[in-house]
Amino acid sequence: MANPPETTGRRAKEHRFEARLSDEDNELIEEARALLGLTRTDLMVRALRAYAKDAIAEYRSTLLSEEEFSNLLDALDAAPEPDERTRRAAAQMRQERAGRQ
Amino acid sequence: MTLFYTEPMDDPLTGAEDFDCGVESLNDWLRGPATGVERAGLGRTHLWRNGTRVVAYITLAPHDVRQEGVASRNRYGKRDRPVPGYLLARLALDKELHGQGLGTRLLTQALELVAEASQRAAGRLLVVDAIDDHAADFYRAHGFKDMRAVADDRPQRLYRPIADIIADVR
Repeated sequence: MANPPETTGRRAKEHRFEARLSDEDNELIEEARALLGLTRTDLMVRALRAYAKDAIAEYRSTLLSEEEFSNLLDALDAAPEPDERTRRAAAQMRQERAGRQ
Repeated sequence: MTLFYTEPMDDPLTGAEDFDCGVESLNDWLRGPATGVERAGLGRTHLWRNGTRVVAYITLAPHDVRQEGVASRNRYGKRDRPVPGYLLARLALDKELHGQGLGTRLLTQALELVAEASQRAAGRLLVVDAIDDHAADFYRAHGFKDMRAVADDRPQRLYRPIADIIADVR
């Protein structure tokens, strides 16, 4: 049998994780695992990867439905809505900065 | 009375050992991943210090808002394209500063940074991640509107048009 391909002298590290599950979560995972014919580990690694990828994507983008997106565009084109608290705080800081000079 | 103003986060971060905003995940994030996010250019964290101690922080990142499934459709009109902007990913104030209206001051300084960034490098929308209902109420009380993202198992997101922000802080 051929040797596994040699990498740059460094082996991929194996990382382990353990987690406590409620009975309900455990049953859910067991059912999905059985349906998909995966090992428990494979299912968990796939799910973790998918969740992590989504989380990274959502840091960069917010995804909206067609309707929500359309509402957002309308809001962007609408007349500005001032916020009084923000205005007062900004005016206060302008005064502070002017006083420093 | 100390007049707090933000300064860029230092690397390595100092003075954050005792930071406690009351939300453990926000405390841990500052002391841990914040520096990696900064080094990778994925977000910028700005601090308030009381002497050498960190007493507040905010984290800003580039962001856009997109429409689901738009890539699989033929049209790509003006109303289909992503809206560019920024994400206020985190805002945290030490417990010792709670109840003095300083959250408004911290948020307003974040808005000033966003106004400046958008005037130099564009952007139409500021999105915020509210870590809990209390945080969402705080943003609503400062003119932010709710946004219902497709993924419903994430923190609540709210937004404000940057044109409105500029009108308030300039």
